[in-house]
Amino acid sequence: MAVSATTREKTYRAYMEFFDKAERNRRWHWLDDVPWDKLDTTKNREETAICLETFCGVELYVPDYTANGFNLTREIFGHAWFQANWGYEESKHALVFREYLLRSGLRTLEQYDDYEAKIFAKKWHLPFPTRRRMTCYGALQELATYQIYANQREKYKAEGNDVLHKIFFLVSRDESAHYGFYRRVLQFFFEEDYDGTLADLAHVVYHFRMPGVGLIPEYDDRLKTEGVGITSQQFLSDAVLPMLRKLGTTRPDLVRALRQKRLEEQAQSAAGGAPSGQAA
Amino acid sequence: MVDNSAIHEVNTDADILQLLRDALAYADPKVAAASSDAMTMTSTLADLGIESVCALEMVGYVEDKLNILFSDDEMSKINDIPGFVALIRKHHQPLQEKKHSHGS
Ligand SMILES: [Fe+2]
Ligand SMILES: [Fe+2]
Repeated sequence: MAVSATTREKTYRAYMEFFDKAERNRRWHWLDDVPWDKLDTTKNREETAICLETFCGVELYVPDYTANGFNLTREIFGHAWFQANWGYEESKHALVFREYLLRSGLRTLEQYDDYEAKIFAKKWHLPFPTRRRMTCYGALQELATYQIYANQREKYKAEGNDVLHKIFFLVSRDESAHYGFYRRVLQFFFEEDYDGTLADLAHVVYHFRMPGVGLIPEYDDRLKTEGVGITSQQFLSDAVLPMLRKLGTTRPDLVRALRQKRLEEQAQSAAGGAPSGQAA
Repeated sequence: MVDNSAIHEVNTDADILQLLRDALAYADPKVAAASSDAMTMTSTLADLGIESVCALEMVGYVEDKLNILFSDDEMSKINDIPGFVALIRKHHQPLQEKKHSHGS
């Protein structure tokens, strides 16, 4: 899809603002900014290990996320450069979760290495093939991830686990900034083509799955541990609906687009074709 | 668009339950075929296999049919049939009650 000069310029400015704020206010060091000296192994719980291991596993797909993301965005300066920064920030998330698992003794190095080998045995593929749909996906996925990490941040604050409280403060703040950038780019798409963007958003909402589905070992079992994921109802209330309000669109508009999408897909499957726009 | 030219008279729980069965058939015929008969005044959406996107479409159907609008906050708190019914009752004044209130 051709990108207008105006959209290029707006995306560039959105990236510059994102990067400026990141460099000035949001940079953190996984050794210096986490109070590792307060690590208290009497607080170790298997549920904590499962949560951290799962989050770490999702973050470990950074090579696939960035490789695919660059291919999709390389011709748009603001978006491609965002991708580079995004990948750098996500890489620290995997690192800090790994550090906690090992330093706390929740996992041995051997256990962690086994897990990492299982992660890298699979590849993440783009769930949607266009930049516009992936921007819808990015916004929703980052906001859902923010909610999951913010819940963890509050849980560990209440439990007096200073190390995990700080870790989740730092990573959730990053996720919130990532959501902010994707939402702005999505806004540009809406300004350029409201109906087409709404149809894409409906498509993504309808087919949405968190990135760990089908990749993380025993993912469904892990979801039984409180805090690993959010329910589909929370996804709606904490991600989809707040984002619609920010974008200036409405729930009835999304429902109409969803209905249209469903009818199109039913017609296509009745005609024997695959639904359009789904990545292979 | 939902055809709301003939707005149901929705007075009793049975009327509302029928409206919700229609909404489910509209939102997801496959889920409706599997669980519409099992829908009762005590079912949860999870019991019936109703995921959030399906619930979103059901709400849109009911709103169009009764010409009402739930707030996003109310909508996102629906997780069972009693909750759905209570919300419909909150926003939709049955025709009989409307007639009565006009006369008072
Ligand atoms: Fe992350
Ligand atoms: Fe992120």
